[in-house]
Amino acid sequence: MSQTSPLSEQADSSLKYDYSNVPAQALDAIRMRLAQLTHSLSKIRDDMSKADLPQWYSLQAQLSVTLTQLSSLTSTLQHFEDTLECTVPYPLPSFPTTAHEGLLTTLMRKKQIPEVENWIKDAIDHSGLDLEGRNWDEIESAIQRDKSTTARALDFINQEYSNYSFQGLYTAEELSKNVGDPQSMIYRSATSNAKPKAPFSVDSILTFMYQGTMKTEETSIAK
Amino acid sequence: MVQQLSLYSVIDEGSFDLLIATISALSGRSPVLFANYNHVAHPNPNYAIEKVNAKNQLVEQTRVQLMQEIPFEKLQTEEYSYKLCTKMTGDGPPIETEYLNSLMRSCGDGTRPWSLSLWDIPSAGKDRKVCTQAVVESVVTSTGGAHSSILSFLAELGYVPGYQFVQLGTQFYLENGIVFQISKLWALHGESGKTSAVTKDGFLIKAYLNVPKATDLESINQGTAHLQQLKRELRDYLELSIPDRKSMDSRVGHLNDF
Repeated sequence: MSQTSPLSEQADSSLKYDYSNVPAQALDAIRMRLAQLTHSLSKIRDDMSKADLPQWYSLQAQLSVTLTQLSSLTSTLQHFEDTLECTVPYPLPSFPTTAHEGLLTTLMRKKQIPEVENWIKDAIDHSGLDLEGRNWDEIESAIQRDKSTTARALDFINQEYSNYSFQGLYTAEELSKNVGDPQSMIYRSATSNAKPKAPFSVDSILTFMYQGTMKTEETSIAK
Repeated sequence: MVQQLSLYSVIDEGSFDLLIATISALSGRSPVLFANYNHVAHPNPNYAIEKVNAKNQLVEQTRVQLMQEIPFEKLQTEEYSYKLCTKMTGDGPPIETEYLNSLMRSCGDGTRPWSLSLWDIPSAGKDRKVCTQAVVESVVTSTGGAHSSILSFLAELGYVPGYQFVQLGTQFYLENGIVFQISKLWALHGESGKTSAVTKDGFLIKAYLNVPKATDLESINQGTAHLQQLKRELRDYLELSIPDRKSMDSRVGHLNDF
């Protein structure tokens, strides 16, 4: 249905259409990324509505996956921007317009649905920009301002991050002053072998508790 | 009948502090010291008890467990905190054996209440997630008769003294009603006053939860889920597992007994 080629003169259903100009690659790439994104978003929504929340780390992992997918979608959209902007979809004559009128209107819809319109309006209102005035310089400078704020915040976080030691037993301050046992400094929680050893088996203790005998020694403590 | 859902593990002595720190941090609760004296009595072998009843059903004789908590003033220690547990490396508990030996014979008003319990063998089944065990427990507050003591009380019930042990350790009362117990056990060898460490160089870990009714499947499932959650949280550090059910069989003259 979505194609840029001019429609052939005959409205014959057996007619071969020329699909070569359909930007299939662009559409497919976007479709795939959108499918991924909707999938992860609905998974997060389902998880959040559960009675007991999943572990924080799995939520965080999901969120970061979703953000990656979102940025990948944005970059794909940017990449195919020119192609998509000049693409006009229209129904082929063979499309059953009467039978699938609802589907057709959904597919052909160019106007945003009211919810989307609302949040776009909200976002514009919150940004405090005057889009009506078409003062592009002002908008440009606002974006620049926003970017520089983000960069400053990122710098700050990185600097704060470097101030702390997230691994080992010593603080960054202690490490820079070289206090403490250098052996312990290489202690890493993830690879630590601080696992407890088992000096005896649970079963042998329980056998003693319930039957008065030690499996290991085979000597009866009971008379 | 009360159902006890439990999971067990063991740790060595060196891991005690880290485990306490781990559980404190995970639960936000502090460890509580506990100590108790246990005496397990056997059914009197002199009584010829039929193995089947009138309805031709199997009669199984079970040992009975008597437990009394040991008051903290009897502990030979300066500080009453979980730190006591790190100092219990010897062959005996930090409690006078004379006191422990007198417990069974003491009588009169000063006698502390005893907890009397019978433990069934844990439920069988391959895909069990936790150890499920039925318990009947009652509290004996006082005993009557001319020579009143818990021993004469047991004799009236048809039980003879068996073996005894002291359990001392620290426990956490976690949310969802789970009790996380880290303890040491010592066997007492009768009047000689001799004791030996059962959990030498280590601690027994027990995480348990009691469900009042065996028919309350919802609570049992919920408790199982809570214990599983704890197990998951401690995974890769402490492996909480289900012990061999045969080791928790308190029936007399049964299969692996004697």
